[in-house]
Amino acid sequence: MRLALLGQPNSGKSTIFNWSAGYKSATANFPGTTVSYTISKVRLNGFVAELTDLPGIYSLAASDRAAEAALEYLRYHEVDAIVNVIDASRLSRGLELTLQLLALGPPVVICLNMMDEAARRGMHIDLEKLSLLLGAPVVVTVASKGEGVNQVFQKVRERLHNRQPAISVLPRADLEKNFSRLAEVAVSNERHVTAMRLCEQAVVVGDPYLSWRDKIDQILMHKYWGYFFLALILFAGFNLIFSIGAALEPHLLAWFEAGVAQLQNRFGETSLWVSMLSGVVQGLSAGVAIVFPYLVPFLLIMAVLEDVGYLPRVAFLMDALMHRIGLHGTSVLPAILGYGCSVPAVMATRILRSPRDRLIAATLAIMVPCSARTAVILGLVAFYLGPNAALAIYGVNILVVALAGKVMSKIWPEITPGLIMEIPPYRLPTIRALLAKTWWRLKEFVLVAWPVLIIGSAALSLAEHWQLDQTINHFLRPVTAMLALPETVGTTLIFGVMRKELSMLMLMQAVGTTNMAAVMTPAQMMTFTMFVVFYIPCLATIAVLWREIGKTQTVLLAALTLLLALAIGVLTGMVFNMNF
Amino acid sequence: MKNRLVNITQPPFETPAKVVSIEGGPNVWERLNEVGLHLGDRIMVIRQASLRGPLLVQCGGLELAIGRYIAAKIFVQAPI
Repeated sequence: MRLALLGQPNSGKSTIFNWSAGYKSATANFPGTTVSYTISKVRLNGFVAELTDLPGIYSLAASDRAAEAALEYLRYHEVDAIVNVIDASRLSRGLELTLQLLALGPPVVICLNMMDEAARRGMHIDLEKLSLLLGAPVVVTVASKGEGVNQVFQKVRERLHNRQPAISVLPRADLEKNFSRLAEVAVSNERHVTAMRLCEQAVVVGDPYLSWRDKIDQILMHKYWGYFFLALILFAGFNLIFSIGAALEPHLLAWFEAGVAQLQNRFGETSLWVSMLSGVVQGLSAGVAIVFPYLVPFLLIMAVLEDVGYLPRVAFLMDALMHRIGLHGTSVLPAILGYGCSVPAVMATRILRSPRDRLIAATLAIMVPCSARTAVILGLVAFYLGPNAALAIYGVNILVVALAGKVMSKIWPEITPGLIMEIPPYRLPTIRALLAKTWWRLKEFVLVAWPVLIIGSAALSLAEHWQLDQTINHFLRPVTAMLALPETVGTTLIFGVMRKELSMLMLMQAVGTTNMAAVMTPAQMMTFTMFVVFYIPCLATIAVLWREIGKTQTVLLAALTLLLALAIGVLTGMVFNMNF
Repeated sequence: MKNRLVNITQPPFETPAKVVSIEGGPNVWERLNEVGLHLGDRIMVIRQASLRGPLLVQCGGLELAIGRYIAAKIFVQAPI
């Protein structure tokens, strides 16, 4: 049995999906979190179903690439029933989509989500009446706490008692194109009025219960204070991540170093097996001691900012500045997500409408240091040269990103359509959701990057044992010489294209010690990190760029970022050598 | 006294008013309709970002950030 979760953006479809299927689809408090669909087999109240989480759509007309992905699914897949998820606090607007869904064919079960939010706003919804008016069952949920989710699927099952064959939801031929757009606007206005009438009949609105959520925007979105608090929040977040990481890193490293030393003492340093085994241990230790201490607090803080609903506020504050580089505020979202990982950041450009905006936003998003690069910046630069040096890297990065945006918007001048974005209310995330999301993102490192790291580390040990690494380093000499870096760094840059954090972790393997200060000067550390921050995106990012912006642009972008990284690396070395 | 039409980037702010016309092509209408702003709705500008940034508009329990260029196309009936 196939079920599709459909509803408007930020109504909680992914939260319901995750509650039933385990954390498989990212959730956050801003419209457009889900930009492609996720399918999972789930066991619901004793029956097995295929549940699909679709990107949010405001109506059945495709407005952006994310909505297109949802409509695409509906065209090419058959479903047995639709679960229409509505943010109950935005009932009237949600019903506009419901009216369209009810006309499609498959049975619809309406799920009024975020009932706590609706109650807070003083809304009393007469469920029976609403169900009667719409001719479809209505179930209430608070998906963030899992309340009512089982009942939704219970209703689906009752509804499917007289089972009809699954049917395609949308005709494959694009009907919309035959519609005049003006007619569509008129029809949409009609739906708006109908939805409001339905609400008037089924909802009694009492006094809203005002709380901190309604007042906090007076400072966080304030004309001037808003920027002050934005800077403060970012600075505090950075310091928190760094202090946790820096406190843990030396202890964990020392522990692993002792292990490797013991191994070598016991079996002798030169044997092939020992050099491979110590490679494996070093790979393990690099993951546990250098990446985890920074990555875990980073992902947690990122999850909090996403789930509380602060990011759309940042888009509001930054809109004017983004216009100076030829984009608008919505483009801030991919850039901020880029601090987490470039892959979802590039995917997030789907919420932008114009292909030109998507190209520029994707380019800027991949230049922002992701969490893997943050691990390099914090683990190498901040750890050895102090947090201010790391902040300087972030500062230079923001300048370069802004400059790149400016240049690109000069090359492709276009009046951006301007910002239209819903600002969702603040929400208190549950600890469960924060931990699930952090683990979900961390899993990517544990299951994909770590094995590569351990195998790579062992391979590099073997290569060193047979002195193969020298050939590679020799081949990469033009790059390392230009950047005035030690020649041994060469191999690590290749690993860095696989995964950014590997560049530093393999560095420790390549130079044979975890004490970087002994083998690299401060200028070299800065140059190396700057180069790693900007050069060629990692393989996963290249793959997603390929799909989202096309292969020519991707190849061009990889070449350009390499040139840019070389230029910035050389400049960093020069500046650092002059001043320090 | 007769009411006049003003676009919502002009004062008075923080006063509810009825949307009477939306200029610009179907692109703008469609997008505003989608997020929940239609002709005839009562809306109120509750905040403005600095540096000629967007406006925050309250509309039927929603808060919408609307860029200044688009906001200049939304006209309301201003009580004088």
